[in-house]
Amino acid sequence: MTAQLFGLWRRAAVVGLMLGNLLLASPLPAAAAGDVRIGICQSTAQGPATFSTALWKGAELALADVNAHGGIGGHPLRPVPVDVGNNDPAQARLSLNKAIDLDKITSLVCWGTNVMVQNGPLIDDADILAFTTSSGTKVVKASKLTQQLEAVTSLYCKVAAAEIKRQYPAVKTFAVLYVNYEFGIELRDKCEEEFGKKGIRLVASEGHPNAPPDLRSQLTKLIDAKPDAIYLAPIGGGTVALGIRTARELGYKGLLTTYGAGDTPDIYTLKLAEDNFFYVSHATPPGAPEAVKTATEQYGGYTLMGYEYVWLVARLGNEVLKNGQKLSGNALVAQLRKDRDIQTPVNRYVFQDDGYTIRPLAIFTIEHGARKLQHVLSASDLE
Amino acid sequence: MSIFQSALPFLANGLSLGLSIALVALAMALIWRVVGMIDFGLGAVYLVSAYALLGLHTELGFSLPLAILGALACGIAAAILIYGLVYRHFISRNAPLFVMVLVGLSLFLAGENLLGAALSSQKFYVIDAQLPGVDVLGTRLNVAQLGKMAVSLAALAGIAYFCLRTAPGTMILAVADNKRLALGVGIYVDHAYVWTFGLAGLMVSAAAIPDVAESGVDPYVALNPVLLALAAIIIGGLGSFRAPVLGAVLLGLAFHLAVWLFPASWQEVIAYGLVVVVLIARPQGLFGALHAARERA
Repeated sequence: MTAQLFGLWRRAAVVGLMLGNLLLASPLPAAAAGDVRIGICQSTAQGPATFSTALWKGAELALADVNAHGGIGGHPLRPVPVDVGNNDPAQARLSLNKAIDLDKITSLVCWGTNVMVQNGPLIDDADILAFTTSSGTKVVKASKLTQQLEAVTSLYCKVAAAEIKRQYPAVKTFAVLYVNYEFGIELRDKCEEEFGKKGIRLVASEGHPNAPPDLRSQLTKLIDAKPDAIYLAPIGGGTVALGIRTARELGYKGLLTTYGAGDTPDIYTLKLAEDNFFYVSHATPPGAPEAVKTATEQYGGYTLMGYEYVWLVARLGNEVLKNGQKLSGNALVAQLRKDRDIQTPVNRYVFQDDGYTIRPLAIFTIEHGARKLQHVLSASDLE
Repeated sequence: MSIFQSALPFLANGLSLGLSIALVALAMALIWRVVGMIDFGLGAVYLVSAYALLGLHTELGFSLPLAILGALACGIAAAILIYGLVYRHFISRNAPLFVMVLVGLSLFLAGENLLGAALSSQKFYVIDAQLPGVDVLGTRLNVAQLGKMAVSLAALAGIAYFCLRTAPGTMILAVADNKRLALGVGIYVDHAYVWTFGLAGLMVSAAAIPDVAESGVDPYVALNPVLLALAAIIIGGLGSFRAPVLGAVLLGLAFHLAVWLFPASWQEVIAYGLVVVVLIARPQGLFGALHAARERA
């Protein structure tokens, strides 16, 4: 019996080894020679999933344009998804290592303060250019090769405070409901500072976990402090909608506001968001390509960022190659900082040497199931 | 406003949360008592009911009452199918408890991620409007919350009546008490298990439906109820059907009163800290006995 079993195992091992050799010997699907690979962070987790889809869709549109015009130095651009889980730095590191070592990406667009801060040294070591859509101010400090594509927390708060002062002068106090994560805490602190400059006092703030199922206790406490406005500062996903619904159900009639986390289709279609709510996000200028405008209406404001990321990488890459240099993160960043003031097909950016970026922002409300642009603040207005 | 008055809204919301958790806790407790496993697969059942409600009402245009009935039926069917197609295989081979836990957990996590990958991680709302409600103890409870509370209390009474007064119910109790003896007197254990999972599916669906009506659907909505239900069972114990319900109410109150007393960032620390304290001080639960893992014949 033992001998029979041993024989069986031995046969299985031999077959296994043969199969293994066959697999190793067979040609694996290879990257097309000469492709320029660019990384785009992705996630199926609730918070980031919606805007990562928008980023990808925008990137696809730009890739089609860029590749139709020869890509970078005649080489097509190919996107590489980089899975960051639920803004998990450890997951992001694993995915980044794969994207860098196997896929040989030359650039990356990603988000998440913790993800970017903890992987900043990896980005620098790998010599890749990274654009970030995270608003955290610490992100660009963690890496020399990372540039903001998004407005930082202080800018979002400054714009929101100015809009409240202008449009809602009766608002004298506010409260903040923030995600209990580095980004949310920073947004709370920056808003306290910027709103304070406009004479609007912070009267209460409460934190919540990422993707909370319930916000009743936090909002009960905030509403008890009787703020004239509540600033919602989650990571994204369904939390803004949950916050709006819960606040209104608890009888809160005051102003609700948020940043780009409100720029998603579930907010556009939320009837409760049509009353006494605005958010600060990215506008689609009238001159933007039609396909981009359509995609933005469907997927949300981060579609523009995906488009502009690819467009910027293509422009910088072509300039670097024209100068006789090799494509690398350092070369791309040097070119970016040299060009500094760039008009893309969509927006004008001012890329500062410290990694921060002045970019246009806009005020939106919700009407009839869609976002409604109230007004735009250009990069010049915000410089 | 006095201190007591300021606590009232948190008491009301805490009670509401507690009774909501109680349904899932009761379902888990029932499966634990009868089958001897901690069933994380109930999370997958929760998701099936949630998405069934969304699909039936918003996609297929069923009226809300019909969609609710459909979602309940889907939940029951899902629970029974999971038992029949997955768990039965392991139970018949006397798989140890940790294997059963892993199987259930894997089903749940796979279901979550499958929904996220195949459909979308976006949150969808079944009812796109403010839910009507009533003012209670200084706060406003909506119809979904009131419904959950009523269903929980009805479920507690109903499960007790079912188990004590009906033939399938006494069959379930017999198997829960002594499986070998039940087999010996000709009770089909498999039938008892089917009834058990069906009942658990019904209770979990009854919890999912108002939750979803209130807070929307996405692939991750089931995680919190399942974890809280497990915590409720640990706190309350399993000595009687009342025990996990009382444990759930205590947990719900802890969640909300923690925010009344401390910054909300301490909410989960305090609530789950309560679980640890109970485990240390009274491992059998505050209101009953936590039986050791059952040995199957």
